[in-house]
Amino acid sequence: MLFNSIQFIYFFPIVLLLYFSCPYKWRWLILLISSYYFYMSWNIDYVFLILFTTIISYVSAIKIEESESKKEKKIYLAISVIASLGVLFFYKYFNFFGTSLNTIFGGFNINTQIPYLKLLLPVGISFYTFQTLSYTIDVYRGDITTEKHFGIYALYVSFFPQLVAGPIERSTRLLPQFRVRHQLKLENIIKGLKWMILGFFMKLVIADRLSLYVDSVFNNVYQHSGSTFIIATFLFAFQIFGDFAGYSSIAIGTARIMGFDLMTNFKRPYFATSISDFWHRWHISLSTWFRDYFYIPMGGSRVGVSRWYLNLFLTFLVSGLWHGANWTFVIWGALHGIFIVVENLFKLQVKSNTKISKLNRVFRTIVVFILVDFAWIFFRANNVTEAFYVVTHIFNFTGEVFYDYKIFFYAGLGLLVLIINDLIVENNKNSIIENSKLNYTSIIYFVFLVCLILFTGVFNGGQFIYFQF
Amino acid sequence: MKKSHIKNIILFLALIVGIDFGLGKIISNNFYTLNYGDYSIINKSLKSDTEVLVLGSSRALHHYNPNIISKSLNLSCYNAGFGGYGVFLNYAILYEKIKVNSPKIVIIDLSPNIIVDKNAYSKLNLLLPYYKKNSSFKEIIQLNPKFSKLELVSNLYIYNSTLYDFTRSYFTENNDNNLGFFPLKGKINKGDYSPFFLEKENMDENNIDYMNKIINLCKQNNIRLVGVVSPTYEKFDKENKIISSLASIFKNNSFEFYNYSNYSKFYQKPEYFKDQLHLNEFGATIFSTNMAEVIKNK
Repeated sequence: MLFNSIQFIYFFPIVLLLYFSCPYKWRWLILLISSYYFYMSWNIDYVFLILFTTIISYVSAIKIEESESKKEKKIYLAISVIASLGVLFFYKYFNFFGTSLNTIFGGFNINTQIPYLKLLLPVGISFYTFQTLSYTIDVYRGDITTEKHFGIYALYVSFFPQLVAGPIERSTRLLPQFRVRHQLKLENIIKGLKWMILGFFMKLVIADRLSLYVDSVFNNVYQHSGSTFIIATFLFAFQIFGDFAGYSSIAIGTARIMGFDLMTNFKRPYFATSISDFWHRWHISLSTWFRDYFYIPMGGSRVGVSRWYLNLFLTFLVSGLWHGANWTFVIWGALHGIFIVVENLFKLQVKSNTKISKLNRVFRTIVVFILVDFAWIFFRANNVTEAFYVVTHIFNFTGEVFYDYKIFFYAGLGLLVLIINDLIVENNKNSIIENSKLNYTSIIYFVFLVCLILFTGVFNGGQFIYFQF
Repeated sequence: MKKSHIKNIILFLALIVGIDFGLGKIISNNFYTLNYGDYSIINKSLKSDTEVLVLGSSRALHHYNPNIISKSLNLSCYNAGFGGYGVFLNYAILYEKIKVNSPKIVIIDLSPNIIVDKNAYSKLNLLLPYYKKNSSFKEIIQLNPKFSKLELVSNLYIYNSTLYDFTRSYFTENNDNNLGFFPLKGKINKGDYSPFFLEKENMDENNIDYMNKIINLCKQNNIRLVGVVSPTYEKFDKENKIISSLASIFKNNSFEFYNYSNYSKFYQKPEYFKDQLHLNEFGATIFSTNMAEVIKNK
């Protein structure tokens, strides 16, 4: 079920009504059934995979906690990690690695013939797999005690607002919230609705409008010129931001209305003054996941300089692969890895408490945007060949420029509103959304956003980009 | 605190409802004055008082010059061709026109793809501005399986994405010298040519139903209906099966049907085509002259 679908308009109020009218001890069940229904509305078969991953991680965590020897704990952790990643690998990466190996061995005249399986990628599998992994690792580390209630644990894995595209929550943050006796509070409704309105605005007014242009360029790269590639690449930066940050906002808002507090996933990433700053602002739940469960266990920065750079690079490389089973994502991750290594090598970062001149800040923001946007080419392109075609032709200005004034008009209007909003928040650190008060300024602002959504939003734009991950 | 919250929430909702209603009303009152964009094409088709009406998809829109047809037949002519809606929109326009003033001749361009096109259903929601005002539009919009009456709650939503058209309309002179016809400039580049083919050859039942409804409307109102498959750059292959079915529907109802899809005069002549499915302005001029002669001499 999509947030931007008619079904969700019926689904969410019903869930809300049932959740708050139900006795406290059964509320978890209402949410669990709702979450599974939400997930099954894509494909009923998906439910078996999420159930499998849930059971394995639930049982493994209990066994880890019960085990007295370190060795035994490690075995159960390994079982959980291998099972969860095994499912993820099989459904998401089997064909990718199979095809890649066939090609590589084919180059040496070795016929490997790894079959191509007709597999449908389960929606959100990367998200809930990472959420279960973090739980079992936390239990292994002794950071948390296990959740004995299977229903509540299953709800932690499948909680519908963040199930299919995050934010990837930590057990330490989310699990205790299912034990809280939530009240339907006006403050939560106001705050939640504000998040949802902003999310729908970003998705429907900006992302889905821009996708009409970006898709027509990136799906037919050989028919377009360099100027068109520059426009499309520039616009894709805002499309993916609107799409993904929009989803996160709706998720946060939906959960907030029910009384749950999900982590902030985006903090105006295109105002970043360095690449590392960008990753403190973009998909925060994923970057902190990789930091805590991949980068630090590999030694993080507490190793020799060359190993540290390798750790940084590998973290981004694997993060790229997490996004999709395609070499384009691997290259995208590698590019960010290179950017971050170079940044550390030449000490180009600016710490958040360091004061820099406005001019320096603007210059840095532009440079970071250009680098991030360049990497987006690989993220968006349908395959590596097309990505390199775009890169090698981006400064070839012969040929017609593909333009669509209608798209530019609507998207420009939306972007103008978003940029003004983000500039105010960035400079004043005072978010109209975080404020649970509904004063006249916020009333006018959100009425304006709702009208803009209804009047200029794209309502048949389809799925969110990050669902495929 | 809570009292002021409730007061502000009521104010918030009241403002949305008020703006939605007020702005929606203003847009609704000015909607038929639009002279830019897709809706202006449909509006002009509905408003035109004509003796010869051209219907069909984008191939109709780009292939039939009403000025040439009008001059030859000595009858007023309007091109109401419009792509992407199967024959549904053609039916709705004809139905609404007959209610006001019945045309004498209807030329309907029948590309095989419009009878097969399943994508037409999702586009029907774009016709929402006509839902409340035109019964035939209401009927066809409901063919969209994803249509929900909930979509009619907001007036702003009904007129979604018209802001640009209104803005352009304000700066555009109301000029319809081409009488709905939209000539295409340039000619097909052989290097860019990729053969057109249908993904499926099964005809869509609803499209066939509405084709029959068009035929019945013409019968009931003594309108001369002329079915035409206009020229294509390459010959159709499996589409011929669909063309044969259409031809028999027309012949069984004693209406004329002309198939120019394999017409030697146009076949693989790049000077007449913009792309494999659409004639350019020069090709359209030749074809319109030709078509007018055929209709005149019958």
